Amino acid sequence: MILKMSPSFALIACCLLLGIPPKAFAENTPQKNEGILGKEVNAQVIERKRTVTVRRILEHFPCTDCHQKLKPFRETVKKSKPFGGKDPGEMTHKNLTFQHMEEIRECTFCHSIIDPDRLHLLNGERITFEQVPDLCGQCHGERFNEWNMGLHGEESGTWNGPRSSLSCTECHRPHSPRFPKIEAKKAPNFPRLGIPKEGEH
Amino acid sequence: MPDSLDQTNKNKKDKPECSPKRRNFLKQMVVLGAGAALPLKSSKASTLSWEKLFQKHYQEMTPEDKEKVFARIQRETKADYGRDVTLSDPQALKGVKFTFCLNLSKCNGSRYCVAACVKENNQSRNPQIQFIKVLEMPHGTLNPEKGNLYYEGKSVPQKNKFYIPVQCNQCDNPPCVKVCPVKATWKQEDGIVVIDYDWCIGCRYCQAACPYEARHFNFKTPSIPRDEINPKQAYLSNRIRPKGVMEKCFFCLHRTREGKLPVCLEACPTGARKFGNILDENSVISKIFQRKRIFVLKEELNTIPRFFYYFE
Repeated sequence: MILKMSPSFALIACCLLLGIPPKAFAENTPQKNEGILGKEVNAQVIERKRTVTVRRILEHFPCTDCHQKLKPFRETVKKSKPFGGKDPGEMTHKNLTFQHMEEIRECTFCHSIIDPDRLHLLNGERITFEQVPDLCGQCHGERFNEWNMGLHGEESGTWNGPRSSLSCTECHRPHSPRFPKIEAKKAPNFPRLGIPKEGEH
Repeated sequence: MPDSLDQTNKNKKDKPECSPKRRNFLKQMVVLGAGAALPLKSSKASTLSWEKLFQKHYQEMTPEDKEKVFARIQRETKADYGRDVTLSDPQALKGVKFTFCLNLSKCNGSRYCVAACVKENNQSRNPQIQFIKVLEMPHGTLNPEKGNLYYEGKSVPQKNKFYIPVQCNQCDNPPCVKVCPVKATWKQEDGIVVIDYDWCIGCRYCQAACPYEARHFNFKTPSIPRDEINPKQAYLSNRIRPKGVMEKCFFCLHRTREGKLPVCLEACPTGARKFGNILDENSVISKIFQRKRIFVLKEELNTIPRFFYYFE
């Protein structure tokens, strides 16, 4: 697999593969769970004021293994059907649900046609998957600015020194970015002193 | 008249004869009682030891005193919980005012912060003590009395609800500090209100004074599973509290004074919590202050909290 790749991708892939074995690119489970938290992989860092950490690994990367060139997808995919082949067992992207700008439903809106291992911006510039904030920031400019300042998103590190924040797709699923509903931890069992339950007084 | 005078004189003379016996008796009782109540070797930390009885207030301790006290606490923790712990004593930072901001549009009420806090800060599991209370609020009100603390969270956030986590606001005008009769709680230079657990007499005045229900009382000796004890402890923050004292959130001072972030912030899955130094104009907190409409809870009470909320 590595032999097939061009040298730059080999480098990225090596970085990605160093820490932990490739993990499923879980689309339907919440991105944040305690199992992932402990294993942090500093795969690729975007040089900004802060470091941006990428913790998860793309399952089907590099895309050029299967897709030599992307075709415009619009005609073949109908709404509310998963992407990929017809038989669910054979589908590569079987967990992929698309809930973001559903009127468009076009892979090549973000994925580069010429080079499927890259994303492309609206101005045609090709970027790596780790630079995805630039892509999202084209439409969500306000969020992007807040994220750049550290107001949006999860952060780790120190409050006074170097901080590292997560890339967009670490918390948001790339193809259905709305933050999922999750199960809360148990309610407290201490006695009801000051604050009454709903309906009580 | 002279007879009566004589009688009174006689009575006065009589008194000194009987009182020494009484005094001796009382003395004996005191010695006996003290001997019974204060065994020289205490097996449990909850029982009072001589060292603990004559321990000074934290602010009056010399470094040698602190060493002795920390050694005693480590010994007692080992005896009671079977765990080797390290006790640190991070000092208040100069030129820093710790401030917390919480984005209520982002908070999804998952209580991850509560779980992380309980683990980090060695809080009692039974009876349960939690520094953070997450209130499920209906839209259209900010009155905490309308909130539900005991919501079931199968899938949060629920429709038409928002969630307010309430914890110690580290007020600049703290009512809890004013009411403490023994000055066991005070405000430090970097804005954190701390408690000397060994100086606290457990009168619970501060619990009544706090308008945010941030203070909790240890009715029993905290029960924590041995494996879940956090061994990195500090005297004023997350060491295992003795029975009969107050405790409350301290902005994870054993972490934040070393530059780390509070554990509730790191546990938050949505990034709703922001922490920093308000005196630093480049900090995240300052940027929030410049851009967002922040507010505090129960502003009319003039407690001047250091814990701010905002909607986007």
